[in-house]
Amino acid sequence: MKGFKNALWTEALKARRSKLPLLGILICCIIPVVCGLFMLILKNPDFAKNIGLIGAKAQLAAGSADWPSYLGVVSQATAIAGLLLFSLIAIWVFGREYSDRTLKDILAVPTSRSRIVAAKFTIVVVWSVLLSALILGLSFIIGAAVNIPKWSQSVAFSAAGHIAGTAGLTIVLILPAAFVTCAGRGYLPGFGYTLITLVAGMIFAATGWGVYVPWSIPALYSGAAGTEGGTPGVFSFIIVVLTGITGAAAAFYWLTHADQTR
Amino acid sequence: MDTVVSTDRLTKAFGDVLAVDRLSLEVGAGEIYGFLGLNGAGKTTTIRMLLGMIRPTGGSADVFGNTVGPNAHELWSRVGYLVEMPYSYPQLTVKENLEVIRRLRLMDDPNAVDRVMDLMALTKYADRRTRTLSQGNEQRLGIARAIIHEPELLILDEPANGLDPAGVVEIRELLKRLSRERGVTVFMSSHILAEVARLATRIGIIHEGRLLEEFDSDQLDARLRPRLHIDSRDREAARLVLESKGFRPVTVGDGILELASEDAINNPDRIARLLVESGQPPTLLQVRQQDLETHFLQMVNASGDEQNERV
Repeated sequence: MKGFKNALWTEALKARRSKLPLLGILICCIIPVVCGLFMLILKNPDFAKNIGLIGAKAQLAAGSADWPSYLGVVSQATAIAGLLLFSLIAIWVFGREYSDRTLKDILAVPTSRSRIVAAKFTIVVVWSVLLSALILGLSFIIGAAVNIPKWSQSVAFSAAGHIAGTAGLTIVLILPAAFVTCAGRGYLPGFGYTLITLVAGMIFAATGWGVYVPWSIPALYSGAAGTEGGTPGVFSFIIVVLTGITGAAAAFYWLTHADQTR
Repeated sequence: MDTVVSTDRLTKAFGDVLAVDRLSLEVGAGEIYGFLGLNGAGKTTTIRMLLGMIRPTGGSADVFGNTVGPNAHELWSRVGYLVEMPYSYPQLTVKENLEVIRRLRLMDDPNAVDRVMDLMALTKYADRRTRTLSQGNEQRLGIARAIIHEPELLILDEPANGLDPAGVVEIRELLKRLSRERGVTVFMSSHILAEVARLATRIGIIHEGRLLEEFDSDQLDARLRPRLHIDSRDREAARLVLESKGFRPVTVGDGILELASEDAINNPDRIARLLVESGQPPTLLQVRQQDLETHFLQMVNASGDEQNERV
């Protein structure tokens, strides 16, 4: 346990000293701010008309300016932006050991490699959860500031659960990015993997097969693909969990068994 | 003397490339083992296998009697290491980088960081981010990471890299002191042959993955025998004259002829007379002590010739 706690401390220190937390906070602020802006435009049709395309886009994405629509848009944005942002965190946490060429210094120490990998995953998950909580908290503050109608406690609880669920599915899906980053020995393969899965997720969501494709499922769950893409069932969630477990297990195996030549 | 490091026919192939070829060696407690080789000879691959970072494709590596593997983490509390160029987390300070290692090494003593910074003259850089460090200080930090836990075995890959002459002497004295006072065993690779000659108690020469030669430092003088260097206006003619009298001249740097036989070294006047009488008077006739570098290159070249002959 001491090894894990110490490894967690070192990962937290590395995270604190980097600029990525600040960047993450900035991106997380943008999501509710943009969604709030949509609501503001929808609340004021004259303003929407004056700005043309943005107004049309706002109408398409949100429909009406009220709390259920607003939180629905936030959930959809979390599914897309979250996959990118949370993947970025995982890629950074694992990839910097390769880019800074520091991996070799943590391979032959009394703290086992599996504990170090576990600490890295813990940081990735905790960091992503905190950012999700930030999105949720800010969404309520901005929604209240825009003063949109149809607020109720049940709407808030339901939407909060939905956003948290979307974020949770997304966080589970970023775990394989850690493996790709390690196996590719750097950031780029991880970024490539993330972009490919994001595009694949969108394509499959549009074809109706999305409920079987892990990277489509958070978007479908959030409602980003509308009702035509299908509604994820229990099997969809099992697919997501299995994908995450496989990715995490592969990263564990890679760092504890593969040749480390960098 | 207890064996601290031993390899038995240790082999590593990356696809078709044989990086280390049936390497067998032993390093006893308290020894300073100098591991010499050209770039790509297999030094770093051997060191990575000794540290469990790379799995051998054949043979085995033992440290303190335990077979090394990627999950032999309990072994590493007794081992300090520096592999290739030292790198640190650039956004952390010197002190924080050492604190990271102190914690991963499960050390309870919080003063260990200050102590090792003091030992490696890094205290004045303690709060400086390591991306601003000079290469020499980065090297010091790498060595500080390797010795922070006072290991019984130090595995160092080119420990003098990037250090100025004063730094090289400092590291040499540090390693000697650790070996002498604490009985630390040192396994170090280096391309600075003079450093190895001054420091190592035993030397191994590796080339193309194979251990060509291994000898104690007290055998060094015997191996680095004097040679008689000869030059003449017509080197080829001089060579033929010497060969006709049963000598075996070899051509060394700049085309100069070299004789290694005791007879020639002890009687250079006879060689001079022979060449003069044959119409090839020497323009150079000098007995020179061979240095480790020359010996090393000869070993490596001889190995290359031997392989070419086999092909």
